[in-house]
Amino acid sequence: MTQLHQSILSWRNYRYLAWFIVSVVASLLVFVSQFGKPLPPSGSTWQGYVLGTFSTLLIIWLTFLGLRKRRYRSQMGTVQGWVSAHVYLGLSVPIVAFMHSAGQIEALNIHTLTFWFMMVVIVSGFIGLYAYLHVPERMNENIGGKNIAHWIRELSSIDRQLAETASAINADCCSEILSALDGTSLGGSKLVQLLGVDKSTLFSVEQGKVISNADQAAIIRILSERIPLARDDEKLSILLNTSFSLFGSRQQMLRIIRKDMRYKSLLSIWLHLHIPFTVSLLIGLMIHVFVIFFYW
Amino acid sequence: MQSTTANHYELVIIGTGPAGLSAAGRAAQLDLENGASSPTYILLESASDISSNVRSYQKGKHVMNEPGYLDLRSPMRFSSGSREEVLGNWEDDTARYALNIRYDSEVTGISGSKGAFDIQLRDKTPLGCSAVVLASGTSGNVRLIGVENDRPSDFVRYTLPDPYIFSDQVAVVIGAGDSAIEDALALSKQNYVHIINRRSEFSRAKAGNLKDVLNAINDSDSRLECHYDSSVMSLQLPAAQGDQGCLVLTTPQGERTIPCDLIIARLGSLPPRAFLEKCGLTMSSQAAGALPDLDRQYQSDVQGIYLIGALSGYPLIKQAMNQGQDVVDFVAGNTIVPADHTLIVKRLGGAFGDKGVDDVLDYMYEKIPLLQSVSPIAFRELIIESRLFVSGEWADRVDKTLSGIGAPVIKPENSFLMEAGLFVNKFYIVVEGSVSIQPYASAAWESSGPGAFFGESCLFSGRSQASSAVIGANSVIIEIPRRILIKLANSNKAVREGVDQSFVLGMLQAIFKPKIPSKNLLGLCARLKTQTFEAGEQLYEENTIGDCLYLVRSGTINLVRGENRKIIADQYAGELVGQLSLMGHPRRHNSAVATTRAEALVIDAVDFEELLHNNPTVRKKLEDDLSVLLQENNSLATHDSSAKLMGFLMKQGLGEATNALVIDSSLCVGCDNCEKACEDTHGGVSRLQRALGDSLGRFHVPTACRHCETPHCMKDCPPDAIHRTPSGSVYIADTCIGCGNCESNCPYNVIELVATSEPKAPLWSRLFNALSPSNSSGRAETGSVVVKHAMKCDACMSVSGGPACVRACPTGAAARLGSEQLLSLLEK
Repeated sequence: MTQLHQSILSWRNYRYLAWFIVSVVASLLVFVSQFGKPLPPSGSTWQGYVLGTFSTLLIIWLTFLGLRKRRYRSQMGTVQGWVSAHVYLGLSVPIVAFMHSAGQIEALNIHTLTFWFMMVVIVSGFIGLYAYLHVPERMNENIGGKNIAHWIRELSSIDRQLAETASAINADCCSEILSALDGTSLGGSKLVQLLGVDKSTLFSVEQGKVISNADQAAIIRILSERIPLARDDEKLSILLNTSFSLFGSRQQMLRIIRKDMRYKSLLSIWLHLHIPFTVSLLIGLMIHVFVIFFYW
Repeated sequence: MQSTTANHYELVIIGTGPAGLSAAGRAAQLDLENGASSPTYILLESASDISSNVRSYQKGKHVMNEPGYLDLRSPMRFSSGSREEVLGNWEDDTARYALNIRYDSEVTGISGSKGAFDIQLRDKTPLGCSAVVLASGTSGNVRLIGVENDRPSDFVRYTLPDPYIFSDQVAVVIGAGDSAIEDALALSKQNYVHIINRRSEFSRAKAGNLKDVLNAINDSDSRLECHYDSSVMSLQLPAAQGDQGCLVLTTPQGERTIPCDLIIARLGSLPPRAFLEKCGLTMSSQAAGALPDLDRQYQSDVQGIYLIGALSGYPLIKQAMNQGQDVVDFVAGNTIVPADHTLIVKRLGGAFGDKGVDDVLDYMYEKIPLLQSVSPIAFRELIIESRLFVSGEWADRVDKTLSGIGAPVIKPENSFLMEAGLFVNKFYIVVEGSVSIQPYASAAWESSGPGAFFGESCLFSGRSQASSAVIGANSVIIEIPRRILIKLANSNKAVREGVDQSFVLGMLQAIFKPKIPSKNLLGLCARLKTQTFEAGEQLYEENTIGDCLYLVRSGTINLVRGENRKIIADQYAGELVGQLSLMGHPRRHNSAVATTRAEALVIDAVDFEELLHNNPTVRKKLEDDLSVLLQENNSLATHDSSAKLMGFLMKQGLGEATNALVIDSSLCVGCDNCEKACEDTHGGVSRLQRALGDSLGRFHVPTACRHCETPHCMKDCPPDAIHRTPSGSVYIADTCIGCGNCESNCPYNVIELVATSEPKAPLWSRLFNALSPSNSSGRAETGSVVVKHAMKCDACMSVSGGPACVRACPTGAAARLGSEQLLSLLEK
């Protein structure tokens, strides 16, 4: 029986770690065989060509993950196996490609540009790998084993209770509470989500303007200031205290939801570098190969 | 033809249910063909309207036209529809044929003999005839409550055509069958209802009804109260119109009196034995539900008296109507082949050469002791629903031009009928030749001859088959579908007991391998009692003294220990529970709790000791098994969170799962590739919803089919469209009619009724089609037909390589597992 719920790194007992080691060691042997020859190591020795061809083939194969992932009826292994291979063999690409270049990456030309494109792809891939390995667990901890729809329902239930409570409080306070509910902002651009920027606002009656209500801090402060003043009015005091504790829960929930969004964008944002730079890399690579063979 | 005088007819048909109406319709047709000047038949009805039984169905009830394989052969129209539509057709056709009906004519007796019968009517009008067709059914003879004052009245009722005419009353419903439940639920909408159940559960009810009634009973807001283990002691009629009467019950808590406005008793009906015996007919047995023996033309042992419909053992409307038409032809001496004749010819496929269908059926019937108490007519139905497997000379005779559904399957000698480790949904009986069975891997093969049967263990336990079977030389074997066997076992005690005994014997043999000869186990087998445990019910308590052990028949039993009820093992069908206290110290070291509804055989200490004493090798085997179990217990007991998690997984149905999707949230990146894969492999509709479903800790059980050991969805599927592949995957075939029974029977809400759509074509072909005008119009046409279809996960049975959801998961978060892998999940 295959082991259940295995990580992509340890997939099939680190099968592709072994492939990684073999390809790196083999490339290294090819690379070292250039030393002691009249010409210094470079991309134009036969060893350089072998390493270059190998890294090109690797890169092309790595891009096939995108296709395999969408071929749901494919019989060619499992997607997890492909991902595991993608990670390990992808890791070997910069090493093999560096040996191919023999360190000649100082000049500013299409060849080094292609190399740096590759490095962006690799580094963003690393970020993605890190996210895939660590974020899901934290994401699960954050939402406490519930799904996010549960928290959104809870939030809207609290909002309803707050709107109801607010309608019984005096006009000033009521308008502040309602404007805090209205002014709550969740989500936004990928970057906003990733950084967890909270653009929530409310209309402060005292200051006569719209102020920031990030993390619900402003409304909580306003309510906490009003509570002592209402000590003579029992009904108002109860209403204010209720609103205060509801905003406390609301703050918690918004934090959970915002954190969840942050995690979700962490899981996908690296792709915004990984995919476009893969395309750039492929184009760069084509030019690199073309130029080498026809103009060098 | 003999002339018909005012009070003498050729044929008297009694009863205007579907059978009687159809017979009268046929008689009217024949009269027309023969140019009779006045009707040669008369149709008698005790009430003042036709079909009082169908009329007593609840308003708007959907009437089904089962069995689907049979064509209707009757002058009267009938198709599935509402009670009103069905009755409307019959009323129209009664008028169309101007049927010669005499209402308010209760028959009290029949005397005389063929050609000269005297029909005694309650109003004493003289009536004579040459032949009688009894089509009066059993509904006129409802089972009464059996106490004083139980005669039908406004207070005590035996039918409830319209429950909504009552409101704000206290009603008592007696009975635990489907009609009792349906009445109680309908009444409870406007009234306070007590339902009286003689037993501790509603075991006879359809799962849908069961769920509804249990929900209503457990719902504190509902006005339905159930009295379990209670029986009626007496009842008191209301003193005056508008007063309450009362019902006195014996309950486990003592006597209880319920004042009420209305009593509905739904205790089923019985054949009118006294009447039939008075007419001179012999009943087939002493049992209360026994029917008279009939020949193939439905003629009883009194020549000239014919029985059709429920009185011939056929309660289904369509069959009764076909019988009605056929019987009139039989009486008139016309040679006809019954409506199902061609079906049987196809089933036999010429394997029996030139022998007539009836002779072959008689011959087969003789060969199968298990089915001796099944009526010839029911046997006929069984053959129609089954398939034959043939080998050797029998196969040579099969007409090779016959193919497709229902034709005999030709098998080479020694080819597998059933393989160990696979799920079998069929039951097999040897008619000719032999079968060789290997009860468990590494056991010796044993050959059995005609009359032997096998395949029941998988049907009963829901676990994969432990034994293998191959067909012998020159053999004929009947393969009976699960549904038909279960129906037969439910209605026939001898079949039920015969199959059950074989099942128990097989289990005992598997436990006590190396095997004790069957004959040494037969005595024990007969003594064993089956006990049923509801989910959560305890088999025994820790620290008590054990005097018996349990062999699990079906379901899952957890062994739990200590104050916090830590789970130390889960035991499934075919495994022992509680043997430790019979083999070691008698004090129980753990408690045993049923986590799903479970059945277990109780083996008491004396029997067990005797068995061990006589079979020393068995002791060694059991001791070895026990020590493996103890090691397992220990490893699980060291995990603290296991108990809670196990409880969660059990609640999610993993205890009865063979293939459930479990997502490890600590690996899931939420990419929904699993859903996309499901969509892509299943015509654009995903059968799993990743984000829905419950979670505990790392484990998330999405809304997706568990492929249960004994699938809840398979119960009561009218077209029998839910099947199981040999690997255990439960799937819904295209024959689904979208009735929604499975959807309401599934406890995990994984079945959806969806309008079927066309599979998504590849992008290039969609582009191509969009450019081609002829194709696009064709697509629009097919797309406009909307048919509802029940849909659920089929474990990607049509895609090789296993479920697409798992294979498409990039991080290994999605895994599918069966109940036996739960422990490995917890040990992580």
